[in-house]
Amino acid sequence: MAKMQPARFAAPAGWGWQQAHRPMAPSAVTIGLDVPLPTEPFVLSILAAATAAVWYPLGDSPFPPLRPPQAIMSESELAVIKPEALKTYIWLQCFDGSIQQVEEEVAMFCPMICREIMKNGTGSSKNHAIVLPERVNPASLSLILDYCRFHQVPGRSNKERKSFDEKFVRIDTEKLCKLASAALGLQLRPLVDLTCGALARIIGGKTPDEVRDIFHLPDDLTEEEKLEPLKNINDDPTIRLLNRLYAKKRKELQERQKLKDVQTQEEQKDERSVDELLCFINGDGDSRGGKASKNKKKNKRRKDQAKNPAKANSEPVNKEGASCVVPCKADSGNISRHPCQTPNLQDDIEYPFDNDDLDDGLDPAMREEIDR
Amino acid sequence: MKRAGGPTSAVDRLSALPEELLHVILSFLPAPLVVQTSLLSRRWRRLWRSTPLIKIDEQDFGISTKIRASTLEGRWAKFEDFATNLLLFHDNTSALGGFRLRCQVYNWRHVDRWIRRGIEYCPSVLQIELVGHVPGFKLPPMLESNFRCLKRLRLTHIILNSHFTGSLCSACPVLEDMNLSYCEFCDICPQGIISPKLNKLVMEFCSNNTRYPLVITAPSLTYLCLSFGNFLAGILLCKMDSLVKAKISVPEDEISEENQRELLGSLCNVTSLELIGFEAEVMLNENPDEFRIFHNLRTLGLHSCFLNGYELTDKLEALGSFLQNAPCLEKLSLQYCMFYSFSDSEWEIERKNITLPRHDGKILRCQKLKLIEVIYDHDHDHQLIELVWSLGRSLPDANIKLNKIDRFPP
Repeated sequence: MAKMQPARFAAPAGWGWQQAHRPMAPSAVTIGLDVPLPTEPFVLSILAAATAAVWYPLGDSPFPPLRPPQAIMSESELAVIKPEALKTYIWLQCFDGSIQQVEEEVAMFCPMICREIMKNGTGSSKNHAIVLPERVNPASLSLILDYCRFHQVPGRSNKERKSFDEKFVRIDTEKLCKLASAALGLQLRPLVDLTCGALARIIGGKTPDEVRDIFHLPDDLTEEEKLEPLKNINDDPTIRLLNRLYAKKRKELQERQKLKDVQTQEEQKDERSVDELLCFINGDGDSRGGKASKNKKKNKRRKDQAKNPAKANSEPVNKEGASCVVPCKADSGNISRHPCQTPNLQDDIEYPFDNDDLDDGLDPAMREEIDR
Repeated sequence: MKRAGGPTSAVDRLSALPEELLHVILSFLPAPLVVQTSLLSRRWRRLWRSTPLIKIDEQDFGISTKIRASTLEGRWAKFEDFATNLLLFHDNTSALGGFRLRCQVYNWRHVDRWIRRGIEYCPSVLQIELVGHVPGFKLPPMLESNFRCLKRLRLTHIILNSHFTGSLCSACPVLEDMNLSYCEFCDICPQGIISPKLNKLVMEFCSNNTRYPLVITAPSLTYLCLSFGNFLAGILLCKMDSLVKAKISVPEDEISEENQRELLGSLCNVTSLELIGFEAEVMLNENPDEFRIFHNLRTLGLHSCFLNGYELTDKLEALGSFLQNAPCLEKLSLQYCMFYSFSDSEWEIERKNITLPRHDGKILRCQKLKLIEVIYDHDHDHQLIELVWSLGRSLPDANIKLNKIDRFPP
């Protein structure tokens, strides 16, 4: 059964066959048979020989639905009659022109290759190789094929697969990036997730400087931008409107705060107890009524006081307070950044005082960075 | 910034990756880190704002249910600032890939605000997990405009009122996967889960407090898992024609016996069935016409079933009558069934003589059943041998495989 001849034999009923317009080497052929498996050895040898030709079904679509041979033949028979020469191969061509052949079942693991074979019928010969997208370079391709070769075997345990995956992504970051890109090009989603997860693990837990070092990112942000990364969104006209509104409110608040600063600590305590009383009267969690705005005003002031000492500690925050768009005192500084993307922010505008503590939301992000 | 001795030709491969890949990378990072990437370089400045996945998790801010109230207050303030702004600054407001929230309800208004904002962004995957002591949290109203893209929904510790269940069908036309944990159906009126495209439904530890049976109508459902939960008021499955796999676990006294039988009856199209906690009374059908035939059932798994006080032969008879209605059954798995077992470290078990019954009763008709797998952890009174013997006599064609797996490893 070693040598295959182009067969001259009766086709199974219902299928016509035409030899492709070019003679083909037996190893570069695909099988598209959908017949029940016979058991006599001589018919098996005919089937084996059939790999030397390409079969087309009668009817409109010129290409038969491809299936890896396992689907048609049982495992044991496959083991018996499938020497190396019988393995079907797919031809792949990288963007730089290099062509290589891959076992079919390995290549079919990639959805993009699968689709190419089914829809366009390419890949069956050297001259009709599947052209891979540009981002798939040969080195990544061979890595990907190793991955496919391992994972397409159905009998592996989850543990084996996991340990293979872990070892697989222990490569340097450059190769990892290229591999991720190539996996995306071939639409191999599990590999995309694996490589991106590995990249995320490298990024996580490091300062921006370290990350820039590892990946050679350009350090092209100005010092000011680094401290106020979210300033640019003020270009939105709705933001400007909100800014004006909040500037007014902030002025009012500052006036009140000046008055408050004169008062003693006990005064604040008193206020809090009133607050608690109000909460108690209104009921827990029932803070969405109209009287709630009063509560919020007091909440807001309380929060401001709580934040003031915290802010006094970190110097860069004061610096940023100075350079922010709307100049204001160094306390609850940067209120001006509220993008109003949809009119659904009405509920927030109803309670404007609450939004004042939103401004500090940017600070945690920056404070986190500064804290590091 | 000085670059320490790297080659001048070092190329920034990371930023050259397509945006889609960068978003996948960001999806693996916790939210505060995602925002910090805006400090990396110009390319990364606005990247975090267009990422399709918004994850808000209180654990990223050191908040858990175990910290003291004083630390909680401070950390919650930071967390709230961050979360509110993260949602405000997000760019893609019309079709978010996913919104995930996990936090305690320390401040009801804050959590409600985040959920509303997240829902406004029309997510495809919505996951809300409330932890700790949750004093009854209801979702904001479901509007079709917000849920039109929703494919996967996962709720933990949420109260589902009739508004939710009533609008599930109309508001979520493409919902495929729903997972409810510790949810409660309140509102004293008939409620049901009706969803035309739902493929997978998992309900764990849910409870039905509506005083009416909960009706699940999901014609496209392929996988159903009902795991524990209080359904004393009843739970009914309708139109489960596409159901392929089901896993039902019935804790003691939480679902009435009649209801259990009804449930079993409505699962007759499944290919693979796993039952936990069912008793002999339910399986036994005295009236053969009543019980439906499980035409497609190939794999049956029984876990902790048949544990009440009947004799082994009676239990096997009950099992047999069930198996008779499953003509295509190929594999049966009995895990910790038929007899209570416990580790005998404290108890002195008296060994008794085994009398294996010779006249066994009928042979069960189950031709295709080839494999019976028995998993046990402790064997006393030689009950295991009795079981295996009886199984062997009633199902002579099947192979029996024994496996000792400790349920609670020491």
